[in-house]
Formats: sequence, C-alpha cells, structure tokens
Amino acid sequence: MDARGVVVAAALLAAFVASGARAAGQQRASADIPDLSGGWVRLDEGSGSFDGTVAKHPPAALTAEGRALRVQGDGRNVIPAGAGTGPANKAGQAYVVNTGGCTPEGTGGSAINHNSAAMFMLQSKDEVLMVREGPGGRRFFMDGRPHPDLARFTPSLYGHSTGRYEGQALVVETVGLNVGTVPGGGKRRPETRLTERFELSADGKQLKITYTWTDPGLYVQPHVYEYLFERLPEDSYALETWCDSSDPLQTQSIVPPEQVQ
Amino acid sequence: MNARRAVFAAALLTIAALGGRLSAHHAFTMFDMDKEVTYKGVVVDYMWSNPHVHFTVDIKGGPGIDAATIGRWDVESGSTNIMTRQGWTRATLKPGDPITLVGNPMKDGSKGIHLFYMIKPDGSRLYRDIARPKVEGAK
Repeated sequence: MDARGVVVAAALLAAFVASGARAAGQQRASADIPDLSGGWVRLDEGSGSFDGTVAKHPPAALTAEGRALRVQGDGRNVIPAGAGTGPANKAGQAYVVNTGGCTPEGTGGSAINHNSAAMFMLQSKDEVLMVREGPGGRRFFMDGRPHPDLARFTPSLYGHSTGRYEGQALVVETVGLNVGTVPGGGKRRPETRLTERFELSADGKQLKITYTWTDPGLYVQPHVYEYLFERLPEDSYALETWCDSSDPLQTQSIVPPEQVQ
Repeated sequence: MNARRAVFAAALLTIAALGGRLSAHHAFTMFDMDKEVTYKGVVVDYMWSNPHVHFTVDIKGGPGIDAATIGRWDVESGSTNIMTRQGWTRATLKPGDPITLVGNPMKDGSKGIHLFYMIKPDGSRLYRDIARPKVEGAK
C-alpha cells in the first residue's frame, strides 16, 4: 500500500467507525453471546521451532483440480530455491529476501490465518471486527445479510464474511477470497467456503478457532485445523505498526557484519 | 458504540490500514531451520526496529569455543510488536550485555543467526515469537 492508499484507507476506516459502527451499537456479552472482545495472541503448544509451528497443520487432501490450481506468488519470497547454499555475501551486503510489499502476505502473515501478531476483536450488534497488530482487518456481518453474487464481487484477501452465534460459538462463513494458499498445503479460490468457529474456554481466557475449508472441486474432504489463542490482559491496547515499502530494510534479512580483528 | 469504543476501534482500523511488519516477513530458506545452535557472546549493538529487530554480538575465543564461530554476528529476530508480546522492550539489551543465543544458523556459513530464544544471565528465557521448544505429543 503506498502513502496515498494508506491515507485513503485510514480515512475510510475512521469514517466507518465514526458512523456505521456507532449506529450499530456495541453488543455486550451475555449468556447468549460469548465475550470475544479484546486482545488475543496465538499459542504454541511446543512445536519445537518457528518452522514447527508453521508445519503442524494437518496436510490438505487435494483433488486433481486442486493440485493443478496455479497460485501466484505471495509477493514476498523472492529468493530462489536453494538460496543461502551458494557463496556467502560479503560483509555489509544484505541478503535481500523480500519484495517489500505491504500486504498481509507481503509482511509475512495472512489476511485470514494468524501468525504470532496479536489480534483484537470488537463485537457490535451488526458487525464483528477482527484487527491484527499488522496489516489486515476483517469485518464479519452479523445482520443476516447473504453473501453477494460472486459474479459481481471482486475477490480479495478478505473475501466476504457473515457471522452468527450458535450457542456460545461465533460461526463465520467466508467466500470471495482470491486464489491463494491455505496452511497445510491447501488452496483456495473465490468459490471456496471457509467456516471459522470461535469458541471460548470455560474460563474465557483461551479462544479456539477451528478452520474448515470446503470446496468439492479442490478438496477430497474438508480441510480442518485449529488455532489456540490466549486472552491479553484487560488493559492491553493495540501497538502501533507500520510498513513502508520504499524502505530498503523491508527487503532485507541478515547483513553480515564487518569482522573486527 | 460509545466514544471510547469508537476511538479504540478507529485506532485499530487505522493500524490495519497502515499495515505492518510481522515475524515471518520473508522465507527462511537461507537458514538451516533443522539445526539449532547455542552461542554465548556480548552485545555490540541492539537495533529495535521493524520489519525485524536485529542485534550484533561478538563471540570471543576460549576453551570449548569452535574457532569458526569467533567473530561478530548479525542476529535476526522478530517484529517489535511480536517481540513486545513476548516480553522484549527497546531496553532489553544494551552494548556490553552478556548474552546466550539459541537459534538457526545460515546455510552458507555467514555469520548470521535466526533467533529462537535468548537466555538471560538469570537463566530465564525470552522468545522471539510464539514458537516454543518441542514437547512430545504437542499438536
């Protein structure tokens, strides 16, 4: 997102909050509505490493069509396969590993699946907002509206999400996602349906989100996995973050230091 | 929605629009993620900034120290927000601090390391991210 895009997006979102969300009215947790509002951080239960955390998703069972579906790059991985196995960079020569894109994928996350950045939820009568401490904010319509005609909908990183409460669970249905990858080797396209089930632990301190990806064209069977989150203390607030794609640092990883004799 | 909630939501949504850096803002194929190394050194510089926090560490020679590890290293960690949630601050390290690092080395032998966690002098740990050491049977 360039500077102009940032300003426009910020203005639109601020206007949304100042008008529509206020009119919708906050929905208080009750015996019928789980209290999901506040900050959450994903939990790792001992996967062993950063890669282990990523790799613990159960593998998706793709159809032939699913295997053949071509997914464009996510805008960040520009180093070729085998990079790092050739000659080492000289001192001061940074390893350039990223395009510097300021999309959720470009910054290492996902608009849908959370990494280790905290996320905050805000429940109102007509909408539930989910915003991460990173790029990407989602809006779940709770007013009973249907999904739009996908023929008239521009697929996006966020798609179109509607939600409802089922007992003490929030159930969110999303369609209209652009073609992309899904954890566990899965894939998605606009017709793919994602069902997310948000469930609190009995003490309200943990949140489990169960993700179910359904698309008979792409999957032999629904692709299911879950994430566990821990509630942040009540006085927590969202930390500022930023992305400037023109900053050379955005593209870099290790910079071998000069060696001091 | 009352005024306080509206301000809170506006802040969140503005943050979303501005975007930000996350822990895995790039692939890690240049690191040997299957190999874990532990190094002891002294902090030279601590750069608390996005997209990823970096610090440089000097490893000195001594008994039991692999000569190939002696020198100055660039340590790559996570984004400031993610590390803050793990207990780090911009004042966690300063030049001269002794430090023990556990992380993944570069495949090509460069003096760079991808931090898993730091062991403080009192023995406690600070993790870069949500990942935790292996627990058998963990999901």
